[in-house]
Amino acid sequence: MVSATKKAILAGFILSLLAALGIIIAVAFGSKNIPLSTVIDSIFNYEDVLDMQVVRNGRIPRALAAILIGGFLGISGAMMQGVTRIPIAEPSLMGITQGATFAVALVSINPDFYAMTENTFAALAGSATSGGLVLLFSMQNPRNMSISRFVLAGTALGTFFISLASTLSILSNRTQELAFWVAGGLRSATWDSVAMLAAAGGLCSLAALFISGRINIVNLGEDMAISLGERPGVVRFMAMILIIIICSVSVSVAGNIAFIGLIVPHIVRSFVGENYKLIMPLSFLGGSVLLIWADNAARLLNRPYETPVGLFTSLIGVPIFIWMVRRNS
Amino acid sequence: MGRKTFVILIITAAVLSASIIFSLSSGSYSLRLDEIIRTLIGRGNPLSNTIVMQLRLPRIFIAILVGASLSTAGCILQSILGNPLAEPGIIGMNSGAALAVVLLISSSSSAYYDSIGIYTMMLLPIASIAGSFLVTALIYVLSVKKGANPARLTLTGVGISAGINAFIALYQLTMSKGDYNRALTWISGSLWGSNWLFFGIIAPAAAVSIGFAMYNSKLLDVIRLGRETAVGLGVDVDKKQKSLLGIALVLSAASTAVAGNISFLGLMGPHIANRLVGPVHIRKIPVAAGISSVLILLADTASRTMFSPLEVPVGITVSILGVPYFIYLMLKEA
Amino acid sequence: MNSNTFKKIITTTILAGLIVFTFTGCSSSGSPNENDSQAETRIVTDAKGEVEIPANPQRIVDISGNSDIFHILGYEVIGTANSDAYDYTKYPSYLEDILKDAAILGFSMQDTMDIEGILALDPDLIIISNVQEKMYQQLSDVAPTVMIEMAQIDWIEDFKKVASVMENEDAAEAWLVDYRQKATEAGESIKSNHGEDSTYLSFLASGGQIYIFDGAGLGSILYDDMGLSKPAGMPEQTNISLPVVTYEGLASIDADFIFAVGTPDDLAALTENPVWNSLEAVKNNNVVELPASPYFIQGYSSIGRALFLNEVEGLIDGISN
Repeated sequence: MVSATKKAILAGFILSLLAALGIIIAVAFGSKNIPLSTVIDSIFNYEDVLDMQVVRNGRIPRALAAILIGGFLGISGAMMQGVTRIPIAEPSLMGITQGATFAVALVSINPDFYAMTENTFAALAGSATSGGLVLLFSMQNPRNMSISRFVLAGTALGTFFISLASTLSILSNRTQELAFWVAGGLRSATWDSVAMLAAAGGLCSLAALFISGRINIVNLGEDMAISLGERPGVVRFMAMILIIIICSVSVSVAGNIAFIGLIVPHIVRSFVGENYKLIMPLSFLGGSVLLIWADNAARLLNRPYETPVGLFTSLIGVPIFIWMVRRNS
Repeated sequence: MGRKTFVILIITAAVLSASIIFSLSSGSYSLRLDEIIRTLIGRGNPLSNTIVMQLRLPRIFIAILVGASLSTAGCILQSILGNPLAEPGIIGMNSGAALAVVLLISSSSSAYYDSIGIYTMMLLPIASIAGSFLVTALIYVLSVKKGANPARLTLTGVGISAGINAFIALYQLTMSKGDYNRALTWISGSLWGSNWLFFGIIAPAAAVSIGFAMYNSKLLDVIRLGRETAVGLGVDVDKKQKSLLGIALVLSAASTAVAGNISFLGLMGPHIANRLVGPVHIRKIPVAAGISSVLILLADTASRTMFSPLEVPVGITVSILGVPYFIYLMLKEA
Repeated sequence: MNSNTFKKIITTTILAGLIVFTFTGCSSSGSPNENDSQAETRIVTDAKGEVEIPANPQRIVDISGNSDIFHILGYEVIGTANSDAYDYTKYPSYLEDILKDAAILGFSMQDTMDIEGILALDPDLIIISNVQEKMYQQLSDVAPTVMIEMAQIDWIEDFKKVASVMENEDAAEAWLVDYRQKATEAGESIKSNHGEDSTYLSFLASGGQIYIFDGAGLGSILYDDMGLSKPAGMPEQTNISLPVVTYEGLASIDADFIFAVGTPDDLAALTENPVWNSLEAVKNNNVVELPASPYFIQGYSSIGRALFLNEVEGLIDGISN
């Protein structure tokens, strides 16, 4: 146990370094060539000129959003795997992010809805719906949940919401915009979105850390948890509420970014073992690192154009997913 | 085969016929039933002839073919994967077809139009069949580890298709709007533009494969009971599994070639059939095929008439109808 | 129904379909109304080969998105797919008067169309683009169908293709000469009033992304037709899809005047963005905001382009006062 904690501290340190390096690159480089001195000035010696605006209001909030969203996806994946005891559970495989995507599509297409709600609330409503359904499935028979059945249910939910969103986009001639929503990306991150992410998502992530001990108990199995005096249904419900909020703020800013919540907790687990008190904070850091580096690749590989960031997370995610499937069964 | 099965078969056939008539008589050009009948027996005017014989009828026949093929593929997969929720679309068999089509449209949109006639029409279907085969082979290879464990096959399929979707997004985002819409129609699954030529090419493959599945219905029954039982009964499960998977692939690839990706159809028909006539495949396959055909016919009729002059791809309509049923199944059977 | 009869019908139809297919391009004589207007025919060569079309077509259905060109050439179509890019049930505002008697059959940038609606109009000539190739055969059974292969960027080429199909190159050339002259005049006038070397940028803002009009749409009117200067740092357009950049990419483009096209929501998001607000052109109030409907699609239409020329100077004068 001691060695796991030590390992965790070391891993946390390395991940923080990587994240910091990622942020520096994200702020220093971009599609516009800005001298390094200007970049530094824009942080410490700010003037209202275009280059400094680009750094200050373009690159910095985007980098922070990547850190936060990556972390949120990582921690919510870890939580989901803990309470469902399914090692490949993940918000985008479960259809939760697609529910939010559909809601965002609905709002973007219909100006009347847009006036009523902002994207965030729409995303919240959408992911609450799909998250609620996932919750129902996972509550149904927690002792005997088959993994492939769970994943198929998620795929079906995802397909359903994307179908609804496609119908909307076809009827309003916005098909290609839909592709951008589905593909996800951080290009529209602003300081406002960072503030919103930090407030709502940050609070929920903290709350998640508080219940990590109870997630440990649920993760032992239904009967064991009950005999230890825990009520697994309650923990599962709390975790799901947190996941829903975290996912919806993430999707409202960055769309549908897959696989981070799947691979990061898994790699973390192989280092520190089945202790969610360690897995969850480290998954946050690991998610941050993965997303900021993926986004750096997305922004810089084909300047001035962007590559969809989901391509990079999938390129890393799919092989690891398949390797896990082969190893686990 | 009991009287009950016979009655249910008759009822399914009757509902199917009613759906055909309904579909034949709906469209933006309104034709009365007597005009349609006159056209069917060869006494229509040139316009009604084209609309009934060249537009609506081939589309209906292809819908039925696709419904029956996907439903049979679903029956096979549910049996050999031991998973009542397996289905060609969901386990990723079609994702390769989608990728092939997107690559073709985005890479060669001008070269594609240079050649004339039959070849350009057939290029997308051929590419999609090739794509389905390659990706299914990849899924199979990746999931083989001391035999192909059904759960692993399913999960690998889901993972591969999620990855392929990320690649598709990369190409889709840089396509022109016209190309993008073509790709979307295809990927979502649409019976748009069906003609007799497609029917003539796909029908034999589908008929042979469905026949093969019916012929092997006992085998499907045994494998459904579980690997151990099947081995105990002297069945070479691994070998049979491979050939049955091959049949499911042919059925799914054939329908994808003419209609694009249509998910859930292979799920709903077999499940409803299961509740009506039970799990024995010799009864289940034909009833399921009939039910899936009815579903796709009605969904397609809605797709082409509801938002006229625009069409919603039928695959989308099927998903919107199919998922609630799927969720219901999950909640009930989990 | 007797299953034998049914089988016969199917087999015959399949065979018929195959035969017709093999001989695509040969005219189908089964047109519904054979009277004097159809008597004279001529042969044109299209992307599919040779087609025999009426010399003087009366009922033209165009779903290739070129109905405005037909108007310029002196034909009024009875069915069109030149619908508004944001609402397929309406005509774009600049074509409302011209198309008001034509039925909307779809949107030209989609491959699905109301095919029964086309047939119901009883056309004597159907024009489709390569996007709609899938229905070529079914349409050509009913009326002579010409498939126009749309150029990737060059709208003049499309214009001339339509003119050559209709054998009306003279009218097309006259219109183009007039258009070019108007464009040069507008360009010169803007140059003399707003600086010889001023640079101009036009883009569509959509969902946080900036679609730059370079070789197509409004951009090609400004640069190719009016001869205005491109700003430094422009991404180059190589095919029909517009280059897409982020705000940072937009900040790398140094333009004196900007035409920002977008929906009300997108324009609101744009004007709230701090990077946008520190662009030189924005600080100097040199931005023309244009609604996405119709201006996005207007730059792709010949009539739309001509109308834009009429108003472009007023738009720029309007902001610089």
